[in-house]
Amino acid sequence: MLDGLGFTLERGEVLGLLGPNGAGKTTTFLCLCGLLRPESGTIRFEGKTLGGDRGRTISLIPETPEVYAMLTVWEHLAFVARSAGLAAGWEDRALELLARFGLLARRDDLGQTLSKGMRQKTLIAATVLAGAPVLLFDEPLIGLDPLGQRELRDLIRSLAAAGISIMMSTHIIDQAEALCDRLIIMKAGIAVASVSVAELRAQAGAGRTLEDVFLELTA
Amino acid sequence: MGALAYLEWSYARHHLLAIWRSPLRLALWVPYALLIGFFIYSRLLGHHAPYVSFVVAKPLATTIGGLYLAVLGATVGFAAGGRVALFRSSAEAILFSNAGLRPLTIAIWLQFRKLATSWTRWLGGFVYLFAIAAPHDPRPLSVVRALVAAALALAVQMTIELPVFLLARNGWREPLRYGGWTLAAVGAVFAAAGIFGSRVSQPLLAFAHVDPGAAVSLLLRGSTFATVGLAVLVACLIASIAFLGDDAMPELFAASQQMLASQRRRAKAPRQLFNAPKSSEPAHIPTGALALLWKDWVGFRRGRGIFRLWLVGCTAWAFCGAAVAFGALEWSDPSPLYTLAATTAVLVLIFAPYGASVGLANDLSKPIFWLSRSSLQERLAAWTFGRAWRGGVSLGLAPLVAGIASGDAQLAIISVPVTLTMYWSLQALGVGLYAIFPNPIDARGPVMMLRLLCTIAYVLPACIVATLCALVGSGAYAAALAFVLVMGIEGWLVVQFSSFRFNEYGASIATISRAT
Repeated sequence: MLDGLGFTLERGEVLGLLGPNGAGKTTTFLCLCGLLRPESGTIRFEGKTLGGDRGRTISLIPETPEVYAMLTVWEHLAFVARSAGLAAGWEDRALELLARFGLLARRDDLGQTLSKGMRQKTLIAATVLAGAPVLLFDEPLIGLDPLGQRELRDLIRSLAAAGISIMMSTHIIDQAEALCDRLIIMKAGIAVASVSVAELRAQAGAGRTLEDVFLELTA
Repeated sequence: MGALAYLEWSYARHHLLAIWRSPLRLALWVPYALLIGFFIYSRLLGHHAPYVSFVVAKPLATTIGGLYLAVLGATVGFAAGGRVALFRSSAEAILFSNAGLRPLTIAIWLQFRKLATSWTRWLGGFVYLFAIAAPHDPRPLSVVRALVAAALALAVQMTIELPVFLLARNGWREPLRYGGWTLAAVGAVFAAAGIFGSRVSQPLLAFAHVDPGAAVSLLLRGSTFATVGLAVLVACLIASIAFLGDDAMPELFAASQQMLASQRRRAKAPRQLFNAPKSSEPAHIPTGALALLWKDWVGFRRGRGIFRLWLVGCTAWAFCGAAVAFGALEWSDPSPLYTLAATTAVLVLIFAPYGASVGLANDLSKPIFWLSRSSLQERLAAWTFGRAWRGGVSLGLAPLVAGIASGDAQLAIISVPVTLTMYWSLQALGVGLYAIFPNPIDARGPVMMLRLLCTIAYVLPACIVATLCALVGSGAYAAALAFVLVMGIEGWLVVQFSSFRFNEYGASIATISRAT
C-alpha cells in the first residue's frame, strides 16, 4: 500500500528508489507504468496527465527480464517497432542499439538461449527503440555477474546522458550511491526521505556510513 | 493488431522449426499427425459398413448438456471471482505495455488468442474423445455436424471468461459469481438426473420445463437455428470486448499475475500448511524408505484442502458408482452409459500416470530425496504406494457402491483390491514414463499419445489374462486375482527399470524437467 507518495523526475536524471523488502518499490513502478490502478493521484509528463496507456511513456524493465523463448532478439525489436508504429527506417536505429548494447552478434538467437544480462539488454533495447522517455528499472543489478553489473551501470549512465529519465529501485545502498543523482527512501509505502546522494552523505557525517543512515530511517 | 499477429506468427514459426530440427520430436509428431489423420479419415471417408447417424440417446443427451452447463457455470463463477489467466507471463504484459499497445487492443487480442491457442492445445484430446465417442461407421455429415457443434460449444466456453471478468470489475461481480455457481449446480443436477435414468430425470424435466439435452440433440441433428444461435453467441462474446475492455490493463495484469503465481505454487510447493495436526516431536517416524510414506501422510493431513478434496473425490466416485448401477436398470439401452463409464476409466488410465510423473519431478528435484540410505527401488515403491492408496481407495468406491447398489456381491468384494493394485501399478508406470520422457515439451500433444499407447500396452496383458481366467470358467474372483497379480508384477518391473534409469541419470533427468 502506498500513501502520499509524490516526487518529480527531471530529464536525464537517475532517481533511486531505496527501501527494504516490502517497502512498496515495485508497487510504485507498477502504478507509474499503468499496470496497477492507484486509488487516487495523478501521474504527469511534461505537464500533461497520463492515462491508462502510459506504458508508451513510462516503461518498466522488471527484475526478472523474461523474453519470449521462441522469438529472436531481432524479432523482439521488430514486434515493438510495429506495435509502437515506428516510421520506416527503424531497422537502422535498431541495429545501432544492438551494436551499442553488444547484441549484434546475437540478433538471430532465440530468447531461450540468452543469459539474464542479455535478456535484460534485449528488453532495454526494445524499450529504448519504442522511444519511451522514462525508464523504470526494478532491481536491475540483481543476478548479474560483476562484468554484467558494470555494463549495465554504464548503459544506465549513457541512457541518462542521452536525455532519458531513469528510476531504479534497489535495496543495495552502494549501487544507489554509485548510480543515482537523487534518492527516495521508502518504508512501508511512505517516502521517509527524498535527498541527493551528497545530502545523504552529509547527513551521515563522520564515523557513520550511508548504511547507518538508511537503517535509521527505515527502522 | 498487425504487431501482435507478427508476434504470434514468429512464435509459431520458431516452434515449428524447433520440431523440424529435432529428429526425436519429429519422430513423435509425424505418427501423431498420422494418427489424427487416420481417425478423421476412418470416421468420415473410410466406410465399408452401412452408415449409422451419429446421435445421442435422450438420457445421455441430458447428461452431456448438464455437464456442459456445469463446466460453463464454473467458468463464469471463477472468472467473476478474478481467476483468469490471459498473459503467458507477467513479462509479456510488461512488454505489451512498453510497446505502447492500447489496453483495448490487448484485451481483444487476448480474446482471439485464447480461442486460437485453446484449439491447438486440446485438438489431440478432442480427437481421442471423438474417436471413442463416434460410432465406427457414422454418416459423414452427422460427424461434421457433431464436430461443428462441439467446436462452437468449446468456443463459448473459451470466450465467455474475459467478458465475465471485465463485467465483474464494473460492479457485476457478485451477481455473476452467484449466477455462475448456480448454473454449475443446476447443470450437475441435470447431469446426474440423466445418468440415473428416466425415473429420476422425467419428473425433473417436467418440473423444470427445460432440458439441456434438447439443445444437444438439436445441434447434433444439424438444426440451423441452434447452430447459428451458438455461432452468434460466440461472435457476441468476442465483440463485447470492444465495449468492456477499455482501460482494463491493470486488472488483466493483476489477475494474470495471481493465476500464474498460483500455478507456480501448485507446481512447486503444492502443500500450504495449516496449523491443526502439527507437533514439534512426531510420535513415530518409520525408518528407511517407509519414511516417504510418513512424509506423504503428513502432507496429506496438513495440506490445506487436500484431505477435504479427497473426501469430495470419494463422494463423487461413490455417486458415479450409484448412478451407473441405477442407470443401467433404468435405461432402455444402457450401452451409452457404459461408453461414458469406459471413457471416464480411460481418462483415469491416462491421467493417473501423468500425475505421478509431475509429482515425482517435484520430489526428485529436491536434494533431500537423494539423502536416504535405502535403495532407490524401495524408495520408488514406497513413493508410488504413498500416492496410490488415496486414488485407489477413492476410485474403488465407484465399483464398490455400484456392486452394492446392484446387488452384485462379487463386484463389491473385488472392487477395492483391484482398483488399489491398478492405481499403484499405474503410478509405477507414471514413474517409468517419467524416467523415459522427463521433458514436458509436447506433453499435451504427441507425448500424450505415446503415453496413452504405452498405458494401453501396459494394461492389456492384465486384461487378457483376467479375461482368459474368466472364460475358462474360473469365475470373477480368479479373474480379479489374475489381474491383480499381472498388474503387480508389471508395477514391480517398472519400478526396477525406473530405479536403474534414475541411478544412472537421476540428476540430469531432474535438471531437464526443471529447466523446461
